[in-house]
Amino acid sequence: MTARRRILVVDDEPILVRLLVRMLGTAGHDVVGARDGHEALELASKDRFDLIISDVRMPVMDGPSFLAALRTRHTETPFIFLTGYGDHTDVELKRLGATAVYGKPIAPQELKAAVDAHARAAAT
Amino acid sequence: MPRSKDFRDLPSPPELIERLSRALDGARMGIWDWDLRDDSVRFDRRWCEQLGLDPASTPNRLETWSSRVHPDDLPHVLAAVRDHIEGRTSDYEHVYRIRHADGEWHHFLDRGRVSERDAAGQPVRVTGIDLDITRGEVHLQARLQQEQVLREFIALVPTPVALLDTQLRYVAASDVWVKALDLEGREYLGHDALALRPQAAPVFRDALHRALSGASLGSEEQRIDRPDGRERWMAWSVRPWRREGAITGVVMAAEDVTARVLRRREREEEIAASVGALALFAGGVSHEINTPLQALSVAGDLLERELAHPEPDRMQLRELTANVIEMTERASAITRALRMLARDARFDPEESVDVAAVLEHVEALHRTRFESSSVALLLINETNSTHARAHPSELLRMLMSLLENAFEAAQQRDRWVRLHALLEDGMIVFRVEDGGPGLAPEHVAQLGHPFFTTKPPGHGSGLGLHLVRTIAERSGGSLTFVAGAPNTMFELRVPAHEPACAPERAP
Repeated sequence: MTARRRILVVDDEPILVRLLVRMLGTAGHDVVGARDGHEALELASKDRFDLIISDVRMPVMDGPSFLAALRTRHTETPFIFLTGYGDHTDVELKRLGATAVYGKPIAPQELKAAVDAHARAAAT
Repeated sequence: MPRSKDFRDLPSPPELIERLSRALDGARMGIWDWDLRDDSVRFDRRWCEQLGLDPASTPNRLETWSSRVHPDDLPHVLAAVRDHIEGRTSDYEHVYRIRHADGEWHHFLDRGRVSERDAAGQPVRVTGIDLDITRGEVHLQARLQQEQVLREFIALVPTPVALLDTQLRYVAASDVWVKALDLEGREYLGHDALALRPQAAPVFRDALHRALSGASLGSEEQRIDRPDGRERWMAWSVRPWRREGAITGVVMAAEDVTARVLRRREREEEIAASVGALALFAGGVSHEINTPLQALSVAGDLLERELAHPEPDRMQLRELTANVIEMTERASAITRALRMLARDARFDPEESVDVAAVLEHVEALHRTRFESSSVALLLINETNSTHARAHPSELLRMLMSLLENAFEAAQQRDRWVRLHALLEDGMIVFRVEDGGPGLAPEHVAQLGHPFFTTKPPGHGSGLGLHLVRTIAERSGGSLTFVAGAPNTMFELRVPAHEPACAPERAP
């Protein structure tokens, strides 16, 4: 049994957010969804997450802006990008402070393994 | 006294005759002596030999000569003789053709003078010499004729070429050259080519001089801008003109290839633009498809897990199945649009195109990208099911180009783009508007010029609108910028498909 983590999933496709929340939930994690960077930033400022999984292109506030805002608040939460585009290179995104970058679609098993690999060790 | 000195120096008569005789032989000269009283003529041995006649059997008659003179020349020769005999000229001299025994025409230079007069002072004898100048004359004529033929030939050459001598003066030029260099009606043969065209002098002076020392130079495409700054390209070559091994001038060819260069550059830009657009588009499309795929893969995982449960939650199953159906449809709409887009316009026939289907494709290809950039995309179809007559892939591409521009503009101010399809005068009008900041008046005039762009370097070649307009006009449509509209507005017109044109509703 993997450790239970607190995870924030951000994507502008509500169906995908719902499915990811449910899948990671069934894997034993505590998961919250957001539909853009702005909403995610609010959640992240109120709550402490062990991992953030975010889309890159989103309305209102995109993934990179969200990550940059997060890092300026000295929040070192591990951050995984799930991107469907090729317009940001992994290097660019990692320079912004991304922990890892995965291309959509990622296989469910791989995503679960990534969560285990990158999520902050449970504080308890 | 000089005269006595001259007199003393004269050789003795026999020696003089011998010397004169040798001189006449060497000079290919003949002597004739005409008695006007009975028209007898004494032709000397050399005269007869010049014409291949036997001196022994040549009749000493004027007809011997006159019957051999070219009939075209005879009246002129006789007139010249008469002028002299009648005292109008101090001596007689004429060039004429005369038939050799072998039938060839020879050229004679004839000179003579009255050598004896009667008591009344009337001329009774005329004596003269003739010189066979055939060789020189034939050469000269042949050369003149050759040069004339050459000049005429060069004039007819359909490319701009010119022949210059060692002083860089025109020897010949093709009509095309004369026209291209504005030399029509001007004296140019024998004139300095660089002086006639001072603006070209800096470019060609060095090359022409190097050609005179044996070098061949040229360029397929050299940029030589016009004085007004307009871009101009020349193809030119300069090489030595050799005659019998010696350089006697230069052959120069030059052609204005501006149109060709610009056309090719336009094609290259067009390709670069489409490759760039394709890369951008492929990125966009992969996102549009990858998101549904990600959802499908997660839904699959959840369905598997749920079904592994001894008592699957039917509500859960239904919801997941609905998600699968929706995501599959989303991805399918994109691949359907791609199928239309991927058709090669060159082989894609004009056909009746369902506007509603095209708008669906437009939406499928742009929806997510617009949404994820918070730009609202409004599609309004008021064409009453009228079809357009177009190449489907081209129509889709044109609309995508316009939407792409609108999308970029809208991100700079009000984030919305509206595509409104309507019917007007037998045309389908696609009106594309955006909430962007609008175009500066000075930019409006340049819209649609190839390569005009307001985007920073690296962001668009400016070919989009120009291409859209070219394609639209090719199919009987148009692209116009609607000046004075409250928002930036372009109208793309495409002919409506005839049978469905202007649907009249029964009263």
